[in-house]
Amino acid sequence: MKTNITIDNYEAYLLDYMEGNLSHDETEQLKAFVATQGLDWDELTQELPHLETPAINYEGKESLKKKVTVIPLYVKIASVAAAAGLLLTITLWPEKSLPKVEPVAELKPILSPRLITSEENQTLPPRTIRFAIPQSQSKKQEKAIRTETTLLADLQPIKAEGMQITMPTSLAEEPNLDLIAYRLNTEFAPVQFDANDYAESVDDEQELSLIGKGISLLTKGRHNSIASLINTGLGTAKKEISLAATDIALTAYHRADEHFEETKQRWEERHGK
Amino acid sequence: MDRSQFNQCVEQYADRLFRFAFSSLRNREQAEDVVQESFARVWEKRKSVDFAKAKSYLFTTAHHAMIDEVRQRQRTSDIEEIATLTDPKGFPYPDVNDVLHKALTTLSEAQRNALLLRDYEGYSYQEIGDITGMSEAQVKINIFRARTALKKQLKSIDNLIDIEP
Repeated sequence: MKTNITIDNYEAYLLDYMEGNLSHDETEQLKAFVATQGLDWDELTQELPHLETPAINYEGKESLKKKVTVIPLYVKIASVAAAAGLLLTITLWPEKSLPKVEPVAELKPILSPRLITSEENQTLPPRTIRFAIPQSQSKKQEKAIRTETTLLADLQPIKAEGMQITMPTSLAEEPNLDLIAYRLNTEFAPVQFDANDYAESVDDEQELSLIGKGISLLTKGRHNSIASLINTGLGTAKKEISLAATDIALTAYHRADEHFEETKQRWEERHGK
Repeated sequence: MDRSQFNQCVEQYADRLFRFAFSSLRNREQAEDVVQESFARVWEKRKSVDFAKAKSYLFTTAHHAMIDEVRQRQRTSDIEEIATLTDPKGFPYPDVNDVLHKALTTLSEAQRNALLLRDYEGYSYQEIGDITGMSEAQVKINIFRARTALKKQLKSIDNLIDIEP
């Protein structure tokens, strides 16, 4: 077979020859071409050097890696219950009785949770707790803490079967956002499940957007104030803060249908409905 | 690609990517920038980049980043002094591999990168072509010319050593 060796490509053939990838015919054609060009075959086909990989390492490897959050399975399981409970609680509240969110600026700095038991209670869901935000917090921190505490306060009265929520009572005092995140992820977690742990990769952006979407979908738009708070509040705050809430919303988003009826029935039984 | 897979990529390829960039650019900071940029790019595109193809994506991105770095150098005239083989601080080089790596700076960018991808990573000529945007024949020609040039450099060193008193 005739090989089209030219002045533009003969070096590619030389490389193939030196690596043993040319047939006898092709080799003969290459030799003939080299001869017609007045080139020295022996010189062209002398052994060529190869580079050895140097012992150089990249020192910033750890800083390139992304944090992988491990969420224990019991948190996941409990989250399903919590989400379903949240759904139930919210959907059972008439729209007109949803609490108004007071402007932060009007809240006095109280460093412990305040139970709303006055006449406000007439229009608020039972056992709803709202935290005041210390004035020393930055606006960003205030927003993050307000969002989280409001959400957790909404979850607090939900006692789905097999779940305990330990409320971080002095969360509002904590100035360190990372510590808040840590506490939300530890203190908020129920502890009585002993299922196997598992690792899960958390995609911040996707999950943040799903929080609001999930809540909104679950409540058929009746609790959009919380959905909106989550979207705006958590989106601008330290994202790690939202892990616990994110997990709830995500799980709820995916599993609401299969858990709703069961949880509703359980809730009604517990409350003698 | 999820986080765990991304971290796996960092573990497996960060050193190799850095060696590729550093050997080509001969500048540690710029090579580090290339590595960081390449991984940042993969992270941005993680939803569309398959884990199995991450290495190829990383090296392709690094290759483009290195071209940008070289162009940037040329624009700002911040071209590093090419390590010549007669550098009194380094001469005579005791190790052939050191000589070859210094001599890489005398090669064209296309020759250098193709050779590094071949010798460091063992990529096929077709794969190198995919990464660098060259045809397979062009890759072979560049690698042949690169090796030939390096061989000449080694010969000239031998000659210089021979005439040293």
